[in-house]
Amino acid sequence: MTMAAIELRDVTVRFPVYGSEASPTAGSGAVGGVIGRARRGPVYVEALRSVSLRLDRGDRVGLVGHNGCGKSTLLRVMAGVYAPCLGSVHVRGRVLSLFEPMLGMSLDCSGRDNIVLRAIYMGLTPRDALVRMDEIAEFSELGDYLDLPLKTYSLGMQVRLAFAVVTAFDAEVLLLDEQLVAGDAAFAEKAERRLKAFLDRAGIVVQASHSERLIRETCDRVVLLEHGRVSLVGTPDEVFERYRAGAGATYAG
Amino acid sequence: MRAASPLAAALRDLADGARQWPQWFTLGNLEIKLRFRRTGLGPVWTSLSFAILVAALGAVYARVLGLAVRDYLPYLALGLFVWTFLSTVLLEACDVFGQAAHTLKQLNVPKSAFLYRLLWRNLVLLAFNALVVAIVLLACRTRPSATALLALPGLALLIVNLFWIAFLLALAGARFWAVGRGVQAALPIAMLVTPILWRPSLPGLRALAQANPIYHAVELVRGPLLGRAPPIAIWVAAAFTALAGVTLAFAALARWRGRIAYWL
Repeated sequence: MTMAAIELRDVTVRFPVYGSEASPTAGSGAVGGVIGRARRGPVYVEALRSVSLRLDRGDRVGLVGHNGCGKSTLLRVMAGVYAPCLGSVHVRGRVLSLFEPMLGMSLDCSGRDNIVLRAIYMGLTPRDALVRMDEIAEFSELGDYLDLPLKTYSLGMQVRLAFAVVTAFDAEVLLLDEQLVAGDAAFAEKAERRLKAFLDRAGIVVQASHSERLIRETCDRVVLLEHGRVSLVGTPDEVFERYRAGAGATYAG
Repeated sequence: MRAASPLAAALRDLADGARQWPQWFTLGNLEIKLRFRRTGLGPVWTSLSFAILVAALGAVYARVLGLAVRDYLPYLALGLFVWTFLSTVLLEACDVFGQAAHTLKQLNVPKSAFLYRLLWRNLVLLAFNALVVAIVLLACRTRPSATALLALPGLALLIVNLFWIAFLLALAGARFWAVGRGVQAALPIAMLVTPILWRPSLPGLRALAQANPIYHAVELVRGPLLGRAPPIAIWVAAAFTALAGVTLAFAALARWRGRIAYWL
């Protein structure tokens, strides 16, 4: 395994909003990034502003902040989805971004085909999926259903299959948006063990969430984002104390 | 840690996309399978609808143009065969990133892989239509000569040219919605002014045919199979266009690759 690392230097991300007539005002609300407009060109939303971070192997980092503060955008910059408009990003190590558990899965395909599909949408080959097929099938406990199309599954069964696939592989850099859901209660304990092993195998884990419990469970370092800026990096205790103080002021309760 | 220049990133995109062939090969085949699921016939539907198109147009236009069906049908079938491939690739290219927006906003996947997959899927459908063409040629007793083998390099040149045009359309279509609409409106007109239904020797239309690059592109495949090798100048022009076009598309990819996810 290479030494996984992520380095962001002064990363700014602006989303152009084509065809919008909105005229930005000086102040912004409690949510979202900063709305702006270049002297010429469309209105833009500045989702991240001058974000600098360095993550090394072994880091378990949480991203917290209000809706629209830039958590998801920051994850997507790390995933290589958005190239920064200003600044630079360097990522070393194979990145696995799991923002949507069922990405790429098709209701018309069988469970087994969906195992292959889900793996493809993790950047793996069909062969990689076939190698792990039996193990995934067994863990999912879906039995003969694996030969039926996904649309015959309950939502819980679909989620369970997706969970079984994504946690079957390894990543050097693991990017997660909210809790990776596993399925129903009977399955929960077994899934929790598997999830823990999955996270432990990763070199770096970045977890965005609104759930303090989840962040405390997963992370030892937390980044607080406000309007696209990093306002604090610290231990979970430090950050949540500050976050709650700030939240009280803006949300009035 | 690597700081990639746009050119290096574009080159890596094309190479990574090619390296990921097991992925787009599988997804392309699956798309065809799903498109024809529960039809009973599967992708043979493509062949069937193509056969009906050739039969219907052949029956009508042989009379309109006063030609013998046996002479006209192979010409028409081959023209429609190439045209269907060409027009479908160009039309689907405009929205290839739009269709993949959901994925492109979550994963850092090579953009080229979507174009490779598009071409692959249409090549499979082309193969199903080739069955119909083969039957028409047999039925009309058109005996392909050794010249027919030239259709293979002809098809290869056509594919390379379609690849760069499709790439440019995909980039433009991701940024401007009007591109897809424009191509959709232009294609029927392009078919009308290209010798597919009519012959390029038709008096009064010869100049139009000769000035039309699509005619020469179609002829790269159709000509050899009807025993006419395209002139050297056409091969050179097609090769030069391919080279210049690929360079242009590469430059465009380098310039705008990082912006695609923002446009969607």
